[in-house]
Amino acid sequence: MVHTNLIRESNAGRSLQMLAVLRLMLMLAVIVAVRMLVPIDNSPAQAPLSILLESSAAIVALLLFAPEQRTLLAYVPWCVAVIALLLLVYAIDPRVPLLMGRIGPLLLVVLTMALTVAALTLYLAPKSVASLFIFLALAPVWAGPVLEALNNPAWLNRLVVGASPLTAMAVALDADYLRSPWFYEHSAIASMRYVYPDMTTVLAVLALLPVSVLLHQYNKQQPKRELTGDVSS
Amino acid sequence: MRTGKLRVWLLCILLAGGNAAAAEEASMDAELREKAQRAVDSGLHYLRNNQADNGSWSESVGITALGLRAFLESHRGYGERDGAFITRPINYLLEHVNSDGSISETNQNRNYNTAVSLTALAATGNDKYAEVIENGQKFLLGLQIDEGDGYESDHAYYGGIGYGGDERPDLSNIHMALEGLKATATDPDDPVWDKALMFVSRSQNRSESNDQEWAADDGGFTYMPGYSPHKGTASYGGMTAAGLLSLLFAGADKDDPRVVAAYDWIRNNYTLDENPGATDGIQGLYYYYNVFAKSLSAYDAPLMVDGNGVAHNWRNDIASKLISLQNKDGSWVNPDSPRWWEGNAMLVTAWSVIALNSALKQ
Repeated sequence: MVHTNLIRESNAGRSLQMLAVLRLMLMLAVIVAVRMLVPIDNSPAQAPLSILLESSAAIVALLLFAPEQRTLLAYVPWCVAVIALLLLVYAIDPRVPLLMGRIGPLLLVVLTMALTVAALTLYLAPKSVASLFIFLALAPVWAGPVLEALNNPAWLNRLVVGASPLTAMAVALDADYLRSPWFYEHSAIASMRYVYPDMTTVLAVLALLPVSVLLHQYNKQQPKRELTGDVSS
Repeated sequence: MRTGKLRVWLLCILLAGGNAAAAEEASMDAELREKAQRAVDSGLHYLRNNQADNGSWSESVGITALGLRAFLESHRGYGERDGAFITRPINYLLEHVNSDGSISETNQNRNYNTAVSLTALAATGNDKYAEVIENGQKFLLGLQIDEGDGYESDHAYYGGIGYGGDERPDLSNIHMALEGLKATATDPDDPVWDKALMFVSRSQNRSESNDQEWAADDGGFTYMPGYSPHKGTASYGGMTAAGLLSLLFAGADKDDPRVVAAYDWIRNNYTLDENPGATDGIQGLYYYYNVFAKSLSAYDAPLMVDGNGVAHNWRNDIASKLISLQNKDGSWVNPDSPRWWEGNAMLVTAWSVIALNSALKQ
């Protein structure tokens, strides 16, 4: 009986592992597919945009294919896995060596961003979070005409530019993505005055939600432990 | 013998008279000149009143350098001896000299900021800034896209200069860079000029000298090879004037077919009521005025005959237009479009004064 249970558990564990591998492969497929479907040439000037696209696709892939979890801590391995997948993609992207010194800060931002979106899925459906991510990523495009009509007030400009997750990644890459050919063509903001936030601000803002959630979940567990301790004594 | 000498004298007098008449025809009308000088004074007064305590305008190296240039090149002949309103902006620029030679408060516009700072520092005529200028030149030369950046000479970006990061080059940025390099007497034999000519030519709608598939044949210029912010790869006024200026800076002479084609485009689309070819004619309007005056001043042909055979004294025209658009407080601003920072009165006022300075220069 015990032997049968062990076999069952072992089979179940193997199935879970297979499922996890499948999920990871789907994530990788999304990153590669997005990169291949969006036409960006191989010129060095396109390197930052190419890497931003791959990194954004990784966040969306995480939201679409990581299994839903009940705690943020449970998401951590999946967030780390996303970073590993990105490293794999970067390794075969010929543009990455051009930005080698900036990949470390970028991965730090992507990891923090992955934890932020994971934290959001504790309150919203992952697909909704993915939609919100894409919506905000394109904020410089859809908000451009509004800013233009309002004569580009500095506070609103900062809000729109800062709201885009692409800005956070671009700050880490030290890349002016709004002046890349695609954004210059499609975003009115690119031809108006704008300022990117600094790296410290980006990391602080991104870390706010995951740290709050972690603290909240930790505090929720604390009283139970104390209660258990009182009863046993 | 005596009759012969008399004929020669008469001929000389006639020629001198003819030249004087042509020069008079080509220069700005006396009454308008006075009005234009007053408009410059009023613009400079606005700038002086809106200068920050640290000497900057809009906390921007680029706008500060342009404001400074507006003062230094004005008919007043301002210089450092005139006081803090000149020395403080210079100090502001010097405070933003970076270890790589760039002069900028931000990583976003390092080419523009450094280029216009070099032009302004050169306009001081003070040798004290020679080292800063030399380092700035090296920085600009390093921005030019070539083999060192992984581009071969057949690439559309080759020879271009962008905003100063990894992004694509464009004609506006390279025209500013070339202006800065020219103003600071960069070696005419430096490869920068030939490489720049390749990029500039690839931004022109002239298929004989542009190997890009999209190139049309109206002779005008677009923003960068294969792209115009206004429509497709259409030529427009601001960039055609910038293209003409870039060609002249890079050593092309007036007989160069690319220069002839650019000049013809400006003639055939001659207007100061709008930025011809731009969206609604209002986007980048003051950039157009600025570069229109600078390019025609550099081209040095005071009368321009448009496509309908009508001769225009462009100096009169640009002065009249800018005077008519000046606000009561002496400023200029584009109320219809904030694109390319034209909602910023400091920038647009500096540009307009520089345009008037170019028109007033005979």
